[in-house]
Amino acid sequence: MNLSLFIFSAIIMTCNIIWIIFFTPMVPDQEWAQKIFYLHVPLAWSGFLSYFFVMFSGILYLYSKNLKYDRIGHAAAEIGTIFTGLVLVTGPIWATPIWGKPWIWEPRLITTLVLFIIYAGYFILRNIGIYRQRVALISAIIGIIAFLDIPIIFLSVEFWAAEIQSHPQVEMNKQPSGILTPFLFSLFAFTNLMLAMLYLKLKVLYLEDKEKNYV
Amino acid sequence: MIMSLIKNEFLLEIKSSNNLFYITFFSLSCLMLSVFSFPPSELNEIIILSGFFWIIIALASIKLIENSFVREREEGIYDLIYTSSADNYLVFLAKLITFSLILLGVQLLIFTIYSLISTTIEIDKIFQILILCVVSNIGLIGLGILIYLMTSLSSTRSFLFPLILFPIIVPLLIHSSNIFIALCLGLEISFYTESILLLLTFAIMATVLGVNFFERLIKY
Repeated sequence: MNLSLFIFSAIIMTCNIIWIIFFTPMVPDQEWAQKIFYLHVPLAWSGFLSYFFVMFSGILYLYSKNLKYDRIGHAAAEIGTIFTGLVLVTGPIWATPIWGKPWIWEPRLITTLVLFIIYAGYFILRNIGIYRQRVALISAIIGIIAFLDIPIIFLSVEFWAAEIQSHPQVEMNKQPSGILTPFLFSLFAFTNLMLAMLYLKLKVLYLEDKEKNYV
Repeated sequence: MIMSLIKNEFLLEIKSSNNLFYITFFSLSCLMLSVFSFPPSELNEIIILSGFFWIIIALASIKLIENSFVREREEGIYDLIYTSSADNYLVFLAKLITFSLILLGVQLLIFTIYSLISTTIEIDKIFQILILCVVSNIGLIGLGILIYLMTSLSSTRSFLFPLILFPIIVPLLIHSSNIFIALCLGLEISFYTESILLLLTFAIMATVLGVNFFERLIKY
């Protein structure tokens, strides 16, 4: 099961990368930089979806006190942070040729960075050497509070004045199919990758807990 | 019961912590340092002073919460809170209300100073500003108490507490600052409905989480 899941995800992701590099149209004013969009947006989507799992499993843990939900939250938080980290890396790669500099202090970037830092704190709290039930309780509460930042990231465009916004607002329903279809495939590929990683990480965490007699 | 607990918090405050005095002094020092390092011009005065205001309040709330839990930590009386006859959520609410009022006192003082040094900020806006501060303080202090309790068992808590709290309260501070500017400039407040809803969300969420999990955080 583990191997077949890994192989399936690898094949989907390889197809996705080949499609993006060789078969997607060049956008005249952005050229190669635009291809980052096929990675950047699905990474952000998968990262936010992971954080939704963290929040949801946090609520379930607080309700049931079952460590299974803490493991789901932990695994999803790790994957979400990796994906959000990659969003923060791919963003500047796109921005350098387009904006002329890798980083601009504008709302969506700041709120995404804040989200990344909150989860960095989440992992510090998980590792301060307190016992298992307290770690689970703290992580669940932080996971719920931290999720508040995600709607703020989405709505940051509405919250702040238009003159300080630099982020392109891409309306997907207005994109030509040459862009829309590979984008949707990329979204599927990254969501699949995220779920596969979540499944595998959960198995690792389960074995760790089993070794320490928490299961 | 809750009134007795609030009274008790204030009594302890006067007897031992002296938070209001310390935090007021600390806030004034921060204000002096901020204005010295970045003197606002007439053009951007309101934006800079609003930023300073909420940065100072964030720093002051951290010191306030840390200082207020010294008694519990050093004398090991978390167990006493847990085993006291009062419901634990009432203890949380009493702390929340007391610290919010202390912070409100600091905000009142800073705003009065602002009205003296600024040409844009006028004292007649004070009631609207105080309502904003009450809503912000509930979110700020509620989350602060929860996160302090989460980090309280760590030997590096004085480092960890602001590290965890600051990123979480960034949206709250930004939107408080937005509304502060709008109120000072007399702008139409209906343009800031999202910001107001966000502050209310933080306040409600901090209170609900605190009421439900304060006991478990003390117990574990």
